[in-house]
Amino acid sequence: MSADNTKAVLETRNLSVRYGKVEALRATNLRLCAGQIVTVIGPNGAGKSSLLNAIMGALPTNGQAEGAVLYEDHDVSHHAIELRLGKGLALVPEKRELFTTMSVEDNLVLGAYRRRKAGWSYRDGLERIYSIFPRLKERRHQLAGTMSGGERQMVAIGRALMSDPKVLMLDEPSLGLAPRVMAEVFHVISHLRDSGVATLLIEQNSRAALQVSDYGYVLEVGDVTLEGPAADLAKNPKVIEAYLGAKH
Amino acid sequence: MDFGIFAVLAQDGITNGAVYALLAMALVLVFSVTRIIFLPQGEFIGFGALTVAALQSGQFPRLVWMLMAVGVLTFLVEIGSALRQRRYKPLPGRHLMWSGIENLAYPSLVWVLARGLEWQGMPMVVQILFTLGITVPLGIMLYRVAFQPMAEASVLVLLIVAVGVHFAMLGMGLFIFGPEGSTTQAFTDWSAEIGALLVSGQSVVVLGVSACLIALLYLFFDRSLYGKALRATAVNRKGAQLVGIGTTQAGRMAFGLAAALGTLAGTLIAPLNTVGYDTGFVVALKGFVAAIVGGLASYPLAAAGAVLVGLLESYSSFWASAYKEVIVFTLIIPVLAWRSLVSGHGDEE
Repeated sequence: MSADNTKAVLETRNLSVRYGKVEALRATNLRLCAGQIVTVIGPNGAGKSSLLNAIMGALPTNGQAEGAVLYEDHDVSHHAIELRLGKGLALVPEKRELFTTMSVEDNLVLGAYRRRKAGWSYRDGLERIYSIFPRLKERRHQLAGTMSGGERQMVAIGRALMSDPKVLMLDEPSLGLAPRVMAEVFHVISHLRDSGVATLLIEQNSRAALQVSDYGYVLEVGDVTLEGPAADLAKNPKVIEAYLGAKH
Repeated sequence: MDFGIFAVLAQDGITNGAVYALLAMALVLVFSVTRIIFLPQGEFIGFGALTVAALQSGQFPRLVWMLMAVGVLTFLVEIGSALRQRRYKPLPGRHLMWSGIENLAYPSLVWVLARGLEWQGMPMVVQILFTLGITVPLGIMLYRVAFQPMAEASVLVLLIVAVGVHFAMLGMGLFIFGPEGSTTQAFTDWSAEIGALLVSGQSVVVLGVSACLIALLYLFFDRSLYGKALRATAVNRKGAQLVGIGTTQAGRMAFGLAAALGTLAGTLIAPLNTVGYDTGFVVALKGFVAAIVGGLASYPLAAAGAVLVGLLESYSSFWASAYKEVIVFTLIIPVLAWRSLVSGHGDEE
């Protein structure tokens, strides 16, 4: 466990995921504190996406999660997605899952679908997203499906932020993005920390992820094999060899 | 064929086409949101029309019994599923209370209203609204009982369930309404002559009501958050779940709307046709042909298809009336061939 005594906003206890007989994630314990960025790195098929989906309650129907997901010390592991969203969890999935035939603004407004009753005006939410991603304001009437990869990622992140989450989970946000766009996305992620949003990040691009993160976990074939402050992980020879490659 | 007959047939075809358009849109809506081919649509046509007819003739609307029976069934299903999940979470008291209000108290209230008020002399609009108050909850209950437990099943499994629900409802329909059909009062006896064409008030009402409903649907899907949520579910189910549009909520909305559209279609045809408990099926099938023209996905194409089906039916009943159903349903073959050529690949699920 991480050494600090700050209260965890999200914690998993012995969280396992299986698809039929295949075990994708084994008894994972993970902690995320408010305002922290925690990254999970690991090779393909290590169970990273299963971890995020299990926390969100969004596993495919053949997936089964066991163990506990604690959100602010309450076990939410049997809550439906909409309840977890209402509490303050939000997931940006690997495939973005945008509403491609609808406008950017509609995509964002629907992100606040669960917030509408809480006296929370979606206009304020929209203004906030547009100030984070000014480009989305220019393109707000464009169909989400006609946007570039980076813009789609912005819509996906913006849509998740519209639910005003306390914990934002990002599944491979840099996947398929040009380096410049990727840098922009990471810039936004590191700035979200200032607004008190805790971020759980899954990345192929381990170097960039560890740079913005406070703490990191290494996940290999369903097991956490290594964890520690991000700066330490980035210096760990095993991590460098397996995930960061030689420095050029 | 002179112009007069041509125009009369066109008027007939477009009037029927407008009704098919409503049904086709309901089918597109339900399929795109829930992946269910909504076969029981036809029952809402028949049951709705028979209920309006019963109200007009001063009889007790027997559909209320069905609402009460299905309501009890729904409540039992709700309790059963709560009990099955109790090893994970405590009994959802509030949820069960709401379910009780919705499935037990509301149908009882409808029963009291049906018994207590003198419906015969009421304006037709009020009678239709009361009928909607029976059929829409019935549609939502059907979703809860038959489809919600298997919302993630394959399209084929859902279709088989839909066939089962269709036959179950037909059986119940025969039991509560009996085999005789009835008609409702005409909306209006107004008519006008334009050249050689006699424009009937009935056609004008049907076209006007259909056009208004289609415009309302358009506004609902384009402007309201709920409409957008339904569209979002149709476009990307996973994305919709991730923003908290539950599959269940979207399914309930789709079924409620489809039941309303089916009922309204039934009341629109009832003044001119004798509607029995089983009449709706063939009418709904024509709506289905129209929906297929739109690939079960496009509302404007489905509406265009509905007018095409209406016109085809009307002209073929003039030239080859014995074969009119055959001709209409054969339309599905070239349409499917054309669609498979145009689309080529399956859409991403």
